[in-house]
Amino acid sequence: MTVKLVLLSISLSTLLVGCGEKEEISFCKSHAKQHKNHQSEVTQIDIDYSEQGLIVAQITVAQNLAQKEVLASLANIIDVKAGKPCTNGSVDIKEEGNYYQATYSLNCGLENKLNKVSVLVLEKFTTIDEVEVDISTPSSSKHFVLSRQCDSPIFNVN
Amino acid sequence: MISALQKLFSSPDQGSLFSRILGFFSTGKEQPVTSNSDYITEQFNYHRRNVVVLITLCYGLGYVCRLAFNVVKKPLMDAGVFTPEEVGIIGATLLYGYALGKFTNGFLADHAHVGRFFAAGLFLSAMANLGMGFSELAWVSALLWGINGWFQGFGAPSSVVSLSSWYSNSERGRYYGIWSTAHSIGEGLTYLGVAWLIAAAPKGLGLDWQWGFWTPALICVFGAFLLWRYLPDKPRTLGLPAVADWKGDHGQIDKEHQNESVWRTQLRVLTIPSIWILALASSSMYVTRYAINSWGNVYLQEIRGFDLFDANLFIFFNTAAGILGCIAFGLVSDKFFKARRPPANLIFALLEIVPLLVIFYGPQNHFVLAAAMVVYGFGLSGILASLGGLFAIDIAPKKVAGAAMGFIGIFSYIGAGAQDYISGKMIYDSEIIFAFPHGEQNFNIFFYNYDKPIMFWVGASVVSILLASSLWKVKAAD
Repeated sequence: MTVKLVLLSISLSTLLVGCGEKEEISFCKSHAKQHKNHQSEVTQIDIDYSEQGLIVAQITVAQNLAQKEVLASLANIIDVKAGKPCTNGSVDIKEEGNYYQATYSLNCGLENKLNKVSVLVLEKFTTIDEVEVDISTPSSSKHFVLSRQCDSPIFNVN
Repeated sequence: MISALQKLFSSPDQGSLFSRILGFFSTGKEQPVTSNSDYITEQFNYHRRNVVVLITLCYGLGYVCRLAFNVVKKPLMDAGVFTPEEVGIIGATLLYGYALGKFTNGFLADHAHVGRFFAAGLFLSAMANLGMGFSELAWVSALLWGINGWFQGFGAPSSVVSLSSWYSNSERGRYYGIWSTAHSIGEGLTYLGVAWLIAAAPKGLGLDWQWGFWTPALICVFGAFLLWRYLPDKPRTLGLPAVADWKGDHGQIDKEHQNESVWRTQLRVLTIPSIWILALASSSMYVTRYAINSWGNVYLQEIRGFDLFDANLFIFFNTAAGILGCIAFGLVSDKFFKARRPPANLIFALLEIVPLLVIFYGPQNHFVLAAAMVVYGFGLSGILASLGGLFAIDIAPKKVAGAAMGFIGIFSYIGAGAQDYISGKMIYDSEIIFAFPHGEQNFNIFFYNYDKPIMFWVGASVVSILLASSLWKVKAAD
């Protein structure tokens, strides 16, 4: 009787854990390891938020995936919600081979509490399926990949 | 076990169901002491071995049902199920529930058959964990986790009553030290075992966070069965003498209150000033202890960039070293300071505070971090064994050890609970969200600053040792 109960529990657990795993979930679980195979083709976003309150974001994107005129407007790409408004916004775009390299700067000040920084790249450019992001703040840094196929960011990317 | 339950619920001739339940959980009547000294020695040896093994193992297993939430905090925050403030509130409810449980159950445990009492708490805690795996509503989780805290509060008083019933004054430090390793065994099981279940492959199984609750539930049901079946009642209920008589090991005898009732002596504990100071010292120490337990692995993932498994592995280092710390504290205070706890408190407090400073402000090196975690765990567990109970049951009359422990416990866990909420609030206040909207969805990446919480955690340890050191000249009672 006890053995049957144990076997039944193991079977149910296996069914709950193992079954019904969709293809995209499998992609999301394995992509951290696979990402390096196509890393050079993926849009790169580097954001640095310094202790002085300066936000500098650099986006490297293939020219066939983004329009220069959309990239040229800071409001199209970055939206900051903070205790006090950020000032001195600037954009600088360079063309490097088949890529645009756009740099955005904003000064949010020393005594300003940032609440939310929205990066609108995936919203403005629907042709971009995946981005690799590096964010550095005074307290910590994070490196991850965002894919439209996945519900959550992919961390621990090789 | 089934026949015992049938007897409990079906017997019509023993009063109301409530009184039968009360009778079932009550300690047995004291039996006339047998005159056969060989039999007494044999029985003491047998039960003393069972007691120390069972309370250590099962209190350790019970920890898995208490700490599971700490391991799944980060996945819950990353998935947006709960904010850090909600996580702090849920964590705090367990600690408040535990404080209440430790206090009320401390008083009850002095009157209980501890085997049955402890088993019931562990089983009900398992049921609360089962429920947690199904909840994504903050208020439901907070309620369940708070109730779990109360059930968790059955364990420590039961264990302490067992220890004070079966081990005498001069040896209690050593056995208390062995029992205190349960903290580390349980924490280790949680921070390695539960983390392994939910950490991403290849380091873990990559199961959903729900399994972080359901697996501990199964473990606690097993622990409850062992206690129910094997943990004995007090020696006098088995026809054996009190352990102090058997060992000829009596402390200071308070003749004025020798024949006082248990209830009256329990109330008298509350009038001992050193118990109040010890309660405050323990409370401050629990702020640090639970800060590292609750937020340590989140801090290591958020700020130091470790993955879930590695972060929990570092927390495990501290808990593993804690096993040695507990035993060492009992031995050091018993052997080198003649069962005086304050000098050992000071030594172990320094071993706790210095590495804490290294962890947060020292070099960003994995080996330094691991070494600091080990020394911190060693020091903390030693001082935890003392301030969290051993020193209190030294000071209090032995027949109300459960009440003294309960009194210290309520303060300790109010401190720990307040810490969880305050830490969560401070962390949440520093939150910066980097959002990447796409269509109707958002990828949200959360950043937190731990500078203020760290000052709070380290400062609490300093306050704790200042208070504990003020009890330098306090001596043990019988």
